Amino acid sequence: MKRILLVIASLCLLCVSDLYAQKTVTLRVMSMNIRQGGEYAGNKSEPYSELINKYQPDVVALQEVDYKTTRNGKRDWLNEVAMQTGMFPYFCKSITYQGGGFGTALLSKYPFYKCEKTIFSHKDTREDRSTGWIYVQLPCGESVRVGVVHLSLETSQLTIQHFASINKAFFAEDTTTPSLLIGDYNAANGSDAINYVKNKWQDVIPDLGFTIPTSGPTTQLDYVMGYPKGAWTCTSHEVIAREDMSDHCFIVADVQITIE
Amino acid sequence: MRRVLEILALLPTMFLLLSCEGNDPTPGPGPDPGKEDVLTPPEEVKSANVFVVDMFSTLEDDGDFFAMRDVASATQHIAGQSGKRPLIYMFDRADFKVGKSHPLNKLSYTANIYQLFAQHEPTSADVTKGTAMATQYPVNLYDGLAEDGAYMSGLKISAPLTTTTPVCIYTSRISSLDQMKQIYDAKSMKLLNDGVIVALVDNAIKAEVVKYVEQTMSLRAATYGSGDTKLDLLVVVPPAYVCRSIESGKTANLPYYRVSIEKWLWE
Repeated sequence: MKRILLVIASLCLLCVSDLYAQKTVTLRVMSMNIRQGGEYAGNKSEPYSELINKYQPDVVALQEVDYKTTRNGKRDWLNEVAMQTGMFPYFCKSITYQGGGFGTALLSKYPFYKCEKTIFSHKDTREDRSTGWIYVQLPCGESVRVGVVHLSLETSQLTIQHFASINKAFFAEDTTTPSLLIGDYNAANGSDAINYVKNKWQDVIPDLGFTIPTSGPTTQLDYVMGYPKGAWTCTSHEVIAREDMSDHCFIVADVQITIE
Repeated sequence: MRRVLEILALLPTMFLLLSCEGNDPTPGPGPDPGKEDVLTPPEEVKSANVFVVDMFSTLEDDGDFFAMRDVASATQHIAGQSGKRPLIYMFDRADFKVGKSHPLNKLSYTANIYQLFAQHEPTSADVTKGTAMATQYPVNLYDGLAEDGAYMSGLKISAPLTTTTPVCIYTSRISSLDQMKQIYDAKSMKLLNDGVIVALVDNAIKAEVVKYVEQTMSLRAATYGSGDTKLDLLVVVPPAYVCRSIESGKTANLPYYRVSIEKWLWE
């Protein structure tokens, strides 16, 4: 009888542990505002690819990317980086520029099975701005959504309006997938705009520090935001100041979320 | 003993919880009382409303397509198209190895195309099998799903028919009926309206998949294969579309199948 009770008890415990099974998802992300299509590095792709290869991130969020513009010699800069790093590219064109395109982009170490974008257009902004996101299934079996952002900077009100439109598009059909929104928010920590962002999103690296200018950072404009709020943790991060590559410091961070 | 009794007291709740799991209603292959009959398209083909998809495959699932074939031949095939160019080119399989540049990147760079890798299986830390998708047309949406063993990805493009028509062309690798059921659960509305699937299906389950597509999903299905190959081509279209032909061809040493689909019913 004792043995039967033990077997039943073990079965119950197994069931309980199965119901409350948790999985920790870890990924390494990078944020790179490459300033005017990489003009500091002569619009070449190789220096950026070398840096990406050094850190081996799962996803890179790029801002100010050129696609076949006059100034970059009509080259597909993003695809060059994709080939040099072995990653999958997703370009989100914001505007037509110099016979090509200018916008944000994502690079993923693993295939993405779905991607979307939204473009913010407003009469008081100097240009349209795109926000894109990809869905990636990681080798652990869990899917995450990672987006790239480059917010408007004309006024704080416009920055907030821009982010409100992103929230609307981002969560229109999906409020459950763990998400990251990475990039240049064009707003300092503690500003109205960042406080607005933090209503729904978590600043995953609260102790990141300043990210601009690379010659001696005095302000933070670049962030890794996570959703759901409070679920993400950062296990390590680095702010990379490369004066030869951008006015923005790049961010590399290992982030985690536990999914039940 | 007290702890054992406590656990025993919990048993009915546990069994109730467990019995609720997995009881989600999924449509079976039987007749659906709510389904509408699929209208029969006219025999006459209006070529202006036909678009073409090229699927490169050996239909044998015999490894990475580009392992023994040059991407440059694929680039030449794409560049050499004139008149009514294929809306999408697919290459199966075009496996992805982590850290290695995918053939799609080179294809995209040299042929000036938009790309999407459609994975067939759970993401691996090493090699993930999949189909490469490429198009010269601007992509409105990259859509897809990766749920419980079912994988499908697609590109939504404005097809240049008599009226510019948005159509989302998906690809997948179907190796069980359950995968088709999951695709239906996730994408039924899109597949009824403007979703087209050009997929590869295991020969052994082809008949039951076609039956499910036609009887439960109320969509039109066409297949191509000799019976000798491990895989067959499966084309699934909404009721307003019809697959007019599937023809085999070859560019250099790249075997392909040209799928012609017509939108015949307009609102």
